[in-house]
Amino acid sequence: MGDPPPRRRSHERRASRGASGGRKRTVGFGGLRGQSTALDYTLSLAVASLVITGLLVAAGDFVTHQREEVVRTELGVVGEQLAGEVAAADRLVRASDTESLSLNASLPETVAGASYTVAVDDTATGEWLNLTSQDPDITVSVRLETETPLDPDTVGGGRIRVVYDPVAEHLEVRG
Amino acid sequence: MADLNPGGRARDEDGPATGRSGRGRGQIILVGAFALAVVFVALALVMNAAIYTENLATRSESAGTADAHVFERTTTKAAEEAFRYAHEVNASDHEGLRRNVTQAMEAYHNVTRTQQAAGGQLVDVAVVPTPPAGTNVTETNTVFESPGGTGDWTVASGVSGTRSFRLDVENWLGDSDDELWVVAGDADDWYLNVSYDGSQWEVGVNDSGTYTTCTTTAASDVTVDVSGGTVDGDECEALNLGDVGGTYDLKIRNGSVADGDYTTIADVEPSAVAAGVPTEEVLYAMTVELTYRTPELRYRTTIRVAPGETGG
Repeated sequence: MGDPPPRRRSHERRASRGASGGRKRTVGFGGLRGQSTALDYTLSLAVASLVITGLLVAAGDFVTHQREEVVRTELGVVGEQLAGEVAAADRLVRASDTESLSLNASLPETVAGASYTVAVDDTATGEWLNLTSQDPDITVSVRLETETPLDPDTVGGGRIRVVYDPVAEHLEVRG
Repeated sequence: MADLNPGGRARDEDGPATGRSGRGRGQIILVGAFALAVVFVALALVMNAAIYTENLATRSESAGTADAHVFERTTTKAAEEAFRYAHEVNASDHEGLRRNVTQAMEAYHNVTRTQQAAGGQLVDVAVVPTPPAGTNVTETNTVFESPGGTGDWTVASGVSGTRSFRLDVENWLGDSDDELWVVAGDADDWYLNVSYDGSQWEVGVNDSGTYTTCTTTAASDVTVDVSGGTVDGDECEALNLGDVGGTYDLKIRNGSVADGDYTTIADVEPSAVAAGVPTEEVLYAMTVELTYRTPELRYRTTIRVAPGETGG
């Protein structure tokens, strides 16, 4: 603890620099500077690691949350689009004595990079389109009403066809 | 790596320990920066998906079903007009009427085919060959009895469908307990009953043994629209002659108890109508086949034109 104060050290440093050169200077302050550098190094490493890790975790969570929200929104939009196509097909079928009808609904293959399925369900509460994405696992239900019965089925997302079966007189959603 | 650290070169001169410290911090920040960059790229992709979603939400239905619906309605209207025009201007026989409506729809097809092709749609419109023959039977201001003066008589035989079937009973010639019947097939199957008790008309329907009173009215006359299912404009569900299946004979019972007008178009040849009754050859119905194709939509339907038919 009898180390000279910083002021004296710098003074001595200036003096020794003029007298004997770099080698002696290194030897003279190596131990002190080594302690300071090790502490400094460790602290800096820890703080930097903490900051970086915190940023990564926060940003990762943010991105994950945003992606889930986007998937949920896009599933809703895709569901409404498909419900619109089915309702339009229903109107066209009922306009006259339809013999055949097949329409292609151009829907995205994936929602925010996640594949999805569309399940047509006919329940007591009405007809539903249940869209489920695989990763993340999110389900969005869209209700629709058709005069023509809708055949329950499950198809993968992407290119989906809405077909009218004139024999059974019902609409089908096919993959 | 040392070059990425602003103080690296100066500290290297001070000794190896100081140099390592600078490099280490630089690497951590660099690796962290790369990782964060990847996260931000992922965020950008997610935002891109969100923007695409908003774009998708503003699109209308993609298959063009609305255009197909418009074309179907247009064709239906054109067919109805062609049917009406043929009967207005061409009061000839069945063959002449068939030729007229077929040519009219061919002309419509030739015009619309070119128009639709310009928009990328392939359409085909054609009248189903040999539209069924019909006969218009209309008498006005007549007692509802046969030309020979019989009260019970058969108006038309072998009928399977009627349209624009209307009965206007104006004067009652019988007693208050008499009933005027219009019978489809057998009286057990279906009959329309009109009676007058001296002050009020009563109209009812017996459908397979179930009698339903449509209305009672004190008006001077009563108009029964059998095809439209109304009595003096008021709806009567039991007046549905379309429920009588198969072919039947259309008869009148007790026709001598009242007079007025009656008119109907039956799907029979004039020879099937009672002799002496004024008839006119008409087409009972016309069926048009419509095909509409686009890369996204295949639609095929039949349009039936039969003005005044029940449910039409």
